[in-house]
Amino acid sequence: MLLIVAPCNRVYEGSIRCSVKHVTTIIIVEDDSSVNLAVSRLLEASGFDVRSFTSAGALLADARACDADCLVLDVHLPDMNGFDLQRKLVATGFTAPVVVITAHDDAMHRRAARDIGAFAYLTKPFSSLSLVDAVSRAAAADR
Amino acid sequence: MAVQTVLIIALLVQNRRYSRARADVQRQYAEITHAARLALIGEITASVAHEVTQPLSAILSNVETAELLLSQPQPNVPMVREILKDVRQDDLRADSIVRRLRTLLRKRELQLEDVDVNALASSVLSLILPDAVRRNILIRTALDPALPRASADPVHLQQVLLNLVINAMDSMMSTPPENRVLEVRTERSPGAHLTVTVLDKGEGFEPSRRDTLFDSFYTTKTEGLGLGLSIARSIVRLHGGAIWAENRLGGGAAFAFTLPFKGP
Repeated sequence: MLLIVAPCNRVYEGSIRCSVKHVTTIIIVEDDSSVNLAVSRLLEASGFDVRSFTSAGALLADARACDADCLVLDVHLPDMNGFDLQRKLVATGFTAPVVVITAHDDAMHRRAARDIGAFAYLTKPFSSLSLVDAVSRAAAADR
Repeated sequence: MAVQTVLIIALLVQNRRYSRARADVQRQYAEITHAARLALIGEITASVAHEVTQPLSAILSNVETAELLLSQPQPNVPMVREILKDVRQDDLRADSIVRRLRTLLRKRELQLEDVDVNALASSVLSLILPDAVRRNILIRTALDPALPRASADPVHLQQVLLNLVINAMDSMMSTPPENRVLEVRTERSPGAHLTVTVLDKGEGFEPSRRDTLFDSFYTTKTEGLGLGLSIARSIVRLHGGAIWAENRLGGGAAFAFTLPFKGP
């Protein structure tokens, strides 16, 4: 079942407790450099090992693409949409769960996220808690 | 003497009537142009919302990360400073998008300024970029770096470009995704003019319709009044330029307009 997290309508008022017990590798594919950096920082500060990419091509060219416990995937990428990228990755043996993030939420994207078997679907701006929680649970489900 | 006085008064009255009529026409032109601009902005609302959401999303993640870092026994203060710097930049980025939109929303009569047309084209393309990505449309630019500044109204000029760019995107919805390319070119033309061209790989238009494309109420869209190109032509003509369209060899259309520039 796809976990859908609505956009955050209030600032999260508390500290985020890191629930990561093992070093878990997260791949981020997000073309907006500000969002990419902010999400990378958040996940690193939460104890994850993070590798970030700003395009589908850059990830596909990386031989270590399959060595990840979770993929945080933006839908709108400059060279390919996130769903097509996930399908290409699966064709190369990638099995890690996917957390979809998007600034453009609509029924078509939700359906596409379901179709690729995404673990969670987060609409920007999302609270840090919701992302860390989704990534932690996705990575745990992969083990 | 009395006849001369009457004649002078009659001429003054006539002149005042003429000035009033002219002011009315200008006001009506501004109203119609503004209404069309509002409709155009309506078409790019999702794209603009996407553009604003990105920096807001980065700000939220950054602020909550800073809170996380500061809650630790030995906070990484240099990292928090970096975060604050990025928060400021993202705030300014969101503000710049809202400002650009607000400028477009302003109602105004034609006011000529020295305009950097390349910068203006880039600004328009940044507004529609998320929509283009969503529609699998690749955007290319060929902007002449030596382009002279045009004497133009930047708001009205953005309206013309926005109209042509949105039409170009709409025309490619039946084109296979891998062939959807929107290109904007600027170049210096003979006769103290510069030319802006918007090229698409869409369906093109019926050659017999070439002369009526810019007429009011001509449209191929299921939604829309067909006023966009007509208003674009009025704006370009008021600037002393010309606008035209051609079908491209191999498919698609090219819409181009000229603007006069000052200087050598």
